[in-house]
Amino acid sequence: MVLEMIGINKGFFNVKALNNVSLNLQKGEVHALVGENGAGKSTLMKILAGIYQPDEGEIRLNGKQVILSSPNVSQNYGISIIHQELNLIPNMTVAENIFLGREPKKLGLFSNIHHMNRETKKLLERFDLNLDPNAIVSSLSIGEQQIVEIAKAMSRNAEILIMDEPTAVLEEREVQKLFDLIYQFKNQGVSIIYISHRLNELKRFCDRLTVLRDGQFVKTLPMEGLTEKEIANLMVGRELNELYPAIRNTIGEEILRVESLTRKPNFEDVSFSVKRGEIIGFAGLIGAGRTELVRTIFGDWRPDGGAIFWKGKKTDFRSPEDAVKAGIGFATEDRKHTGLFLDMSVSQNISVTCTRKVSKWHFIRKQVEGKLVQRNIEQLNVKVNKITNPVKNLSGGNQQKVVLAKWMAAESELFILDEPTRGIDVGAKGEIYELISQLAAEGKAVIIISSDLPELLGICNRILVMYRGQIKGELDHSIANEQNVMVLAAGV
Amino acid sequence: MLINKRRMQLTHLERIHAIKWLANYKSLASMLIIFVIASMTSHYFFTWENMVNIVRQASMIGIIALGVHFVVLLGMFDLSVGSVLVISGTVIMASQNVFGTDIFLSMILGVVTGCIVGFLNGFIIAYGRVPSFITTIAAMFIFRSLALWYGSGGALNGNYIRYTELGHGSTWGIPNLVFPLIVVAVSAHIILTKTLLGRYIYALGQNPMAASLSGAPTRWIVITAFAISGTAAGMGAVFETSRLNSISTSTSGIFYELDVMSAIVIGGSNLKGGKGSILGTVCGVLMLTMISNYMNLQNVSPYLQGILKGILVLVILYRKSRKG
Repeated sequence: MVLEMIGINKGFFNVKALNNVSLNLQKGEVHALVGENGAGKSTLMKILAGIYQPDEGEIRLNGKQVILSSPNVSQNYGISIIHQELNLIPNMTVAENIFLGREPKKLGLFSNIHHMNRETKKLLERFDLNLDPNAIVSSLSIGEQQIVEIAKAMSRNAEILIMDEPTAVLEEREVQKLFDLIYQFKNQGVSIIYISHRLNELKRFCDRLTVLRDGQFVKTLPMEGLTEKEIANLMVGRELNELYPAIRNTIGEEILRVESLTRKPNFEDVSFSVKRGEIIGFAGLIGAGRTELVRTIFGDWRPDGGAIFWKGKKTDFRSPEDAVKAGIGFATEDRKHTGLFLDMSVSQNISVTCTRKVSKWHFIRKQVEGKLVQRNIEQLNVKVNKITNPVKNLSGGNQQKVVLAKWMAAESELFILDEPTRGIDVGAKGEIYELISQLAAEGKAVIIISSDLPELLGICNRILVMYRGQIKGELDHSIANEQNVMVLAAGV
Repeated sequence: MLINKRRMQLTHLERIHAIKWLANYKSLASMLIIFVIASMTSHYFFTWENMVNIVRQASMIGIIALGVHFVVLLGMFDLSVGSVLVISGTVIMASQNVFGTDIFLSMILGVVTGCIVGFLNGFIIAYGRVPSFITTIAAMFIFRSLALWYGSGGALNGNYIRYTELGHGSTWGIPNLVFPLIVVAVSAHIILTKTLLGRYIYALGQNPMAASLSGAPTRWIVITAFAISGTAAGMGAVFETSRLNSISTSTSGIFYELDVMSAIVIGGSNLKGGKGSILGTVCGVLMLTMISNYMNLQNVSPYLQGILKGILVLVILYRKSRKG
């Protein structure tokens, strides 16, 4: 056993985040850690990384009891964590980032760049990585940056590597590369704790799996023979029904039409239309121009050419304000930075899109606001104690529901959802799919952008595939499958 | 025994609540601390005359700070308030002694001038996408220069002796200028906590991107906030001219923008926007005034007082940055 965590307890104020949780890790094993949002995975990993101290319980490394009193101590024991948000300095080179804070010195004063680059090259070669030590980090793709982060961890001779949702931001091609890397680490005897919401990934290379639920240890069991459905059931603690609701075919009149819309260099000559009651999906790789396209439709960016027709009339949204007034709602891909006001209350976050409805003579009517918010969060099943609590205290899934609630409160007629289920757990995902389907049934139109292909295949009437700023093809749900979408998305 | 224990717990709980309450009103608490220390160490500090004096001194920076507070909540700056004060003051004095406008109308003209300058600032920032720091520095130069040119660098005097009664006089023993200050502070508080504008200002200050993508009328919000700031500076001009019955185009309003910013920061507002209360800003203004008043009473050279002000601002910003 490389690592044993035994009977870990941790509480915050009155809330028990971890209750008697145990985890053990063998040498060279890839161990999946799964659970819904708020199950305690992050807390457990933060304890291992030395960020939090457990209230009770014992941690043993190679059989010896240790106290991980700070992140530094933890790193010295060979434990490294790769966070979801990368911690690199964008304007520095790959080598400088890897050696940050312990640069080899010449005469004890000047950093020895040659030595640093040489060491970095050696390190990268050890894992067959094709990266220039002198490249500036900000010029690398997200996937490459992540590899730099991993290389940084390995350069500290990490024996235990914790990866928190490493594939959430990666393209399919880069995901494969990451998996290759994980295999190599495994063969070199590194133990890996792998956290992910994408259950299909786990089956590809994890040896064992530990499930947490509501801060409690549920089970540790070998990966072999487990199905995705079984894992999901263990996480949720009940039988999960079919994840995706049935696709409806009751489609109404056209609500939005885009004709040869162009904004160079993001996208060019894009035409499509959406009808009431329809859910259309945009598939494609990161950087294919999907987000840029919808932001242009939403009036946030100006197009170079082309036309937008809203309910049959040519329109020109000069700002998001115009688009919202017309009845478009846009849930952005990054809820923390562009979707929510984290320090403001749940209620204020929801009513911001429909302030006119909750005010009279410019004065906000608290009661009207409260009722409207209450109605929407009940419909969405958002778990909040009080609607006046700040939205930053909610879990990821509930935050995403708040983002949806704000557009429902605005009574939008077209919902543009950019990565609506990124980083949220299976249970909440199912609820969001159900909700999207319900919106369509009420005659609203929905546009979904997603990197999660099964999701698009599961809920969309049609899938449009973008490649390098152009629509490469349109597939009806009756014929779409992973293969034909990927072929179009890769531009083959 | 049991009852006794329960009572102990209750008081303990109450104590926690009291501490929590004070923690929420940090600037109020610090002001009270300064007040108590000053009262205990100086005999003259806690007298009616001195209290009146402090409030009178605080009213000028106070009224301007209430306006700039709106801009700071957006995470922006208004460095033009000193120059707005001097141009508005010039309009008031000139309209009185050149055009013979009556007192009331000249006051209105002054406030409207401030409002127009603020509107222009806001317009350039919102539509031209020029950073507020740059825009308002430009306005600072332009309007100071305009006033200097009109007054040939000297002072402009008013015609009406009665006008000074407004600035110097008292009603029920309270200086007249305190009443408009209270009215403006209360209205500002109501605007920020109860109206759409207030809600939007906090939202835009906290997360401009999310506010814009939620359909908030961002340009209107920015322009209104700057117009409010300009209007408040125009009211500051009324305070200044009614006290002196004159305005000095070269010295009036100099460094006011910095005094105002320090007061707002000391009052707990976040320079990045989205956080801060009117109560905090009022306390910040009073704290600065009390400190300089106290130092005057203790015969500290007025030339040295800037040092303490500087240290105070530094300490507060340092503590904030430590908290992240």
